[in-house]
Amino acid sequence: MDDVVILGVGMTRFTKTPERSVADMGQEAVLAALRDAELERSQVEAAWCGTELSHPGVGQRVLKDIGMTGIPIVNVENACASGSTAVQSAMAAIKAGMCDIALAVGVETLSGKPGLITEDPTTDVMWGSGWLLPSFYALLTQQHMHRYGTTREQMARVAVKSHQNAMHNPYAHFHKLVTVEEVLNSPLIADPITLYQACPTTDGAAAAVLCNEKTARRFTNKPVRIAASALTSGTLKTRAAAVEEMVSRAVQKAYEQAGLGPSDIHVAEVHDAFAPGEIMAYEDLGFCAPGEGGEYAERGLGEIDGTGVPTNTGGGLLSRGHPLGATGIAQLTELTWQLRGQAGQRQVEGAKNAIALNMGGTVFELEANACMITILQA
Amino acid sequence: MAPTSGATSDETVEPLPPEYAELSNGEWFLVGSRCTECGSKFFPETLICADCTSRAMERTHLAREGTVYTKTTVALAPEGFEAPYGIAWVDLPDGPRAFGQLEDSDNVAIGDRVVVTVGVIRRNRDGRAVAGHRFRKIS
Repeated sequence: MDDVVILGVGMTRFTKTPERSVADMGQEAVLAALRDAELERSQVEAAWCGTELSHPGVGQRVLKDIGMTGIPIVNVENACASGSTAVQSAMAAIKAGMCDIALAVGVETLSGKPGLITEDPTTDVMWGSGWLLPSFYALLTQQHMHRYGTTREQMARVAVKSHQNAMHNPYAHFHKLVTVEEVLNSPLIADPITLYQACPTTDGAAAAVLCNEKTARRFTNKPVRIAASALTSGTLKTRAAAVEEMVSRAVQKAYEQAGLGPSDIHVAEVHDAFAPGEIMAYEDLGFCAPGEGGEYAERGLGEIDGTGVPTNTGGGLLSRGHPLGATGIAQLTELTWQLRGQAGQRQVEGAKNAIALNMGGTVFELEANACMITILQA
Repeated sequence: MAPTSGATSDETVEPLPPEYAELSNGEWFLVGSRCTECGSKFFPETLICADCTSRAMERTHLAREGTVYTKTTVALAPEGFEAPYGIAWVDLPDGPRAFGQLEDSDNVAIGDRVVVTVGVIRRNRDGRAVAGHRFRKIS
């Protein structure tokens, strides 16, 4: 079966733009991806739109004003993994022979919405007991600290690095350095997570144009191949015997699909909605052994010029920002730029294999709603 | 024993009763489900067994005491909640890992033994207190 490649990527700057609509932002990203792919709008045969909180029909709203409706359009919700799930859906349709060229776009506007995303506490039992996304991560983190001795300073190092990397990313929300002390002394959200270890409220959109490898040869000399795409959902964590394994299952599946292992990866984008997430991702992706993620951060192995795998070179969710439905595609956009050697001052020299970890969680009785692992190859 | 712990002294409205706990012989129990086909127990109550898909579920009182699997203190509270408050996953010997708020969260650690109790966990939009199950450290 033909492989699927990314022909073009594009994104808006991730920032707070309350005056812009979801459609407006989505259109900017779509047109940027088409320009990057050197394609006409009419060459796109189908589209998938990832969003978590936008209104129904958002893909149609994005595409109607740029004359791209008429084709199949599907809206995809998979919590904060909606964007990467849209990419996988487009890929699957191409592999199935339903189309040759497909679009995936992810959009979200969060400014104007409450900073703490909540379900209705009167109808959802977990939210009704005071669970929130930061506290969900804080509970995982406390267990990690208890089991492995992971420290607050190690987590703060993740936030410091993310801000450093974002300085060189014109699309990032923050262009400001922070110190370990500033991270630790910022207001507490849910112990041990402080404000600077939490992603900001961000608006944004990102898009990718996909096609099969044969078609790609007509358009580009620099296709980025999707070498693996593995999605899992979480199992019930309301059992005393529950184990956290949805991420490792997806990672193992992805490495098998690609015929690669952790030592083959040159650059990574991981889900640091909260700083400890990156420490756990180092372990889940096999960059280090379980329990050694804190030390990996402390030694700076994930930095762009570190000796490990440069991680979140674009600033990650912490500093690029996390417009939920757009994030998964923004990760793949950054990795595509890295694999083509277009990442400017944050370029990882000679990067050939890249991995993305995108999580989504709102159903707190589960490990998480979704974990998507994507491996891209130059 | 009224579930008023945490309510203000001039509270005029009786808190809504806890949804997931009930009083029996002067002690609070978590209310869960037991599958009459395979015996698995769940918290909170469920209509269908996640292990065998049987719908033959019966209400059951779960173990009163458990062990803290993980906990945190929430410092930034959503509407209706008063920060700081503790939350935890608590492993019960009869199977479920139960969610719930913690009393005196700062003095509870992972691995501590806790017992079910009840108190005010939040307020509705109309200001009415909502009671709920909580866990208290066994000293």
